[in-house]
Amino acid sequence: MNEMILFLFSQTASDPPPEQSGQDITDLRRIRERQPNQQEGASIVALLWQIYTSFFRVGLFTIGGGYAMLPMFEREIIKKRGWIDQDRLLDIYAAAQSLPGAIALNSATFIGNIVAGVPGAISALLGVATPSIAIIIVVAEFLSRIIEVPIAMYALKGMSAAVVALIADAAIRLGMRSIRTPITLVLALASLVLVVFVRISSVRVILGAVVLGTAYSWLSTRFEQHV
Amino acid sequence: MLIKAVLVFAKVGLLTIGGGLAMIPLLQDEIVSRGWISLNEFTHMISIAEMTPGPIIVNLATFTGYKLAGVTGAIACTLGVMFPSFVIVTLFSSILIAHKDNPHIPRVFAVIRPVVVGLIAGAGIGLGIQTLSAAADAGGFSAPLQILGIDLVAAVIFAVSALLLWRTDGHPVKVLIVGAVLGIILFSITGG
Repeated sequence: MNEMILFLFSQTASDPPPEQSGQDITDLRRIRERQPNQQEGASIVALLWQIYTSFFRVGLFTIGGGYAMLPMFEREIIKKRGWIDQDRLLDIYAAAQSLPGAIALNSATFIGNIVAGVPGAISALLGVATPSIAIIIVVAEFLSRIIEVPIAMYALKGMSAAVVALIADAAIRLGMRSIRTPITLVLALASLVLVVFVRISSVRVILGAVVLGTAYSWLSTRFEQHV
Repeated sequence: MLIKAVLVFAKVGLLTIGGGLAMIPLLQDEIVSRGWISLNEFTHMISIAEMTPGPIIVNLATFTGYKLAGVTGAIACTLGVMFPSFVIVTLFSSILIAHKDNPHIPRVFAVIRPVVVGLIAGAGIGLGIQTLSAAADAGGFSAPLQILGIDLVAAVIFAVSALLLWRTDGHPVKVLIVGAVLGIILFSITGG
């Protein structure tokens, strides 16, 4: 049990997270190429195992939907491992939400692919899914009894309230990073209003942002050419 | 039968876009109407899926597979539901990584990023309204202590969690455990 707790909370990363600033999404390829080059095959296995265990922890504590895993991602993947930075997390979330499949699985696959290619994607995906597979197999045996235990319901209620604070905290922290100009503030508020009050699906909001971003990028290219 | 189930879950995995809850009608159609699990089990599994880690489609695939063919079935159906999105996301991210020199990509993402922050804040507000409201939820649970339609116990737990995060930079797992323990203690005392 002690080992289990140590495993869940261990903050001792084997490599300290590198300082990252203004990293391009594709700079990550550098990280990915660096790993196999520096070391031999055995350490590729070690890296894949590290990916598996990191995502296992994320998967174990993702209760209450894809957004609830953001704080765990920040802790396990960004702060502890330094595999991606916070800007990249938002990019990956946008893609994970817009592509088919659950957000949790998609973002794990995406990050795993960045860190160690397709084997990394497989490790991350299996890692994030393992806890829920194991727990559901147990639940399948005792389903009707579990649902009637009031303590389970109380704990769930308490955790939901904590998750609200965790998501708010993540939104504030990520917002302070990516909202720096009046225009980005307007974009963030507009998407909040669209999704909460107008009840447009998040996928459509993201697709709208892709169209806007493409138009902006195209226009700014044209503008530079003419000036 | 199991192969059929794996294919059905692969289809569900392919069609799920933007969150599992939108897929509940389709899942019910595919799984319950085939008689793989009962409607009662299906409804219970939806509530269980909210209490247990992992996406709802993965939980349902594992559960249905287990009912059909034990642990082998559970693993087979779960791999089935994950496979299509795995292929699509791997291809998409590989393309993005390969086009690292395209100057448009960082500009497009500069627009997308604040929008995603808005979505996260929106998700927090949505979940906050649902959690802090004293109205009875789907499980028939109604708040024991309430003022102006606010569940006071949930509000206290929210405040403690926020304070913990703000003052101590608490690990998310610790915050979750504190929330669960406070939930058990406070709801038991107030008799929810």
